[in-house]
Amino acid sequence: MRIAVLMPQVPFVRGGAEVLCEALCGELERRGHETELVEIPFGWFPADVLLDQLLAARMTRIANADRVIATKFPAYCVDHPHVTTWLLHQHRLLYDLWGAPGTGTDDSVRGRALRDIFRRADRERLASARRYVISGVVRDRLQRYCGLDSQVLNPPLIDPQRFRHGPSGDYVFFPGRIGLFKRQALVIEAMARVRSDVRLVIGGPPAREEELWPLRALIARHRLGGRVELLGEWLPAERQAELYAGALAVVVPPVDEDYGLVTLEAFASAKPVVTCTDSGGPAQLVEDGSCGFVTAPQPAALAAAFDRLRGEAGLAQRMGEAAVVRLGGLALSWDDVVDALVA
Amino acid sequence: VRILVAFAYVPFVPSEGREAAHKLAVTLGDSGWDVAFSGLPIDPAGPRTGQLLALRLLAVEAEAARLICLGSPACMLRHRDKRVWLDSAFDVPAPDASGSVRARSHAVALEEAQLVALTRGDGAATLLRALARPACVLERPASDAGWRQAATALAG
Repeated sequence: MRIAVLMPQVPFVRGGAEVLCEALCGELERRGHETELVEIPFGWFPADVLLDQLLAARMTRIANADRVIATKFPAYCVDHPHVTTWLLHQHRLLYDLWGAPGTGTDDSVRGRALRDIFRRADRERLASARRYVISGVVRDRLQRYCGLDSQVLNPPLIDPQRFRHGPSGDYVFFPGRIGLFKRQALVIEAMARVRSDVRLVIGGPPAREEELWPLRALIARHRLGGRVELLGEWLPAERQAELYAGALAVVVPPVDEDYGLVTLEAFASAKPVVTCTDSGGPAQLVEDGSCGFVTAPQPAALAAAFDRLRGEAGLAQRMGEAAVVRLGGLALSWDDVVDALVA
Repeated sequence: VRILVAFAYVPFVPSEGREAAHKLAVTLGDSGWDVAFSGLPIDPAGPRTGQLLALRLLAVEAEAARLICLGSPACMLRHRDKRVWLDSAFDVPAPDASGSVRARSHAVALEEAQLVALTRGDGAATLLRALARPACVLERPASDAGWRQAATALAG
């Protein structure tokens, strides 16, 4: 079967979605399908351009494909008779992040009218597509905002053989893209409150260089230069695996994350994960007190978790071992994902 | 400076244009530019006007300081600093008496470009006459050194 995997692509931005779509293409090809990753340029800022993006998607035709697998807004709006969605997320600024601080929500009459146009368009298009989602978090949002049922297909860990186990180090690793909703600032604030000698290493790139500036300023204000390392760049796979293997623990505190690939990577590296009660996918994956901690989204609570992992002999290692068991228990399989998507 | 290299392609069909766009992006990256590469799916059997409009609507300006479009219809993308590298003058429809949407939209898209280059010189004069749009000749390079020169000419 010829399958086009569609992914809206903000130029110069690379994150978990890109990695996941590339992995899906690889898995489809391994099973004999001819696959093409179609990355449609996508801009969402300023908000007015969103309507253009929606119209552009509706007029975009995908030639030569027996099936289209669409992953995000507005890719599922393309003109093709056989669209299957494997929804990573909807455009969250129009849904659960509407009105959230720092998002620049246009809460005027016009802004709300536009939002409702997008919601109607989503509902209409998604209602006619085969619907799979990557997590319970995404399923619940789709049900809550669009009234649509969907089936969860959790993505398995990508490239699992690159992760290895190593002795607990003295730092907490914070991988992944830098952004407001990933909450790097919250963790830096936590580091200003720790009592142990634990360090923090923040990996991953920002969408724009300017996003690093407030984090650097925060580190300087708390005089954390010696204990917080802000790498600020996309890490090669081997370097990332090395940082996982040498960490004390991994921190994943985003706001209502869709799924939690980073959490799976930490588990595969036998590391406990510290996440927050409002972190969505990661909070569902981490069993509090067993393979990590699920804390309040407060600096003091995160700091206490870091201190406990650093101070209590053998705790990080025991939790890391539990994380490996937890990952195995999830029984995630690409066979299940691919079978459902191409059925 | 962030540069976006864009080209249009038909999924599942290999093309020289696609390879050229990739080569140009790699060469620019090796020369120290911050480069992203964007493929625009098109369906040659589908309605042209809608697809041209779709490309026109895509928002890439906020992300890249400069845009290099290879061929038509990639040249339909909007950008304040757009450079277009066409395969030949015959890549774009000449304005005709009937004033077709396709011809008029290409005229606008090329008019707003900072630079229009053609891989072959034979049509430069034709394009110049037809669109009143200056165009230079920049042949498709055959060597890495040639690609570096082309990249400098397009991005500099």
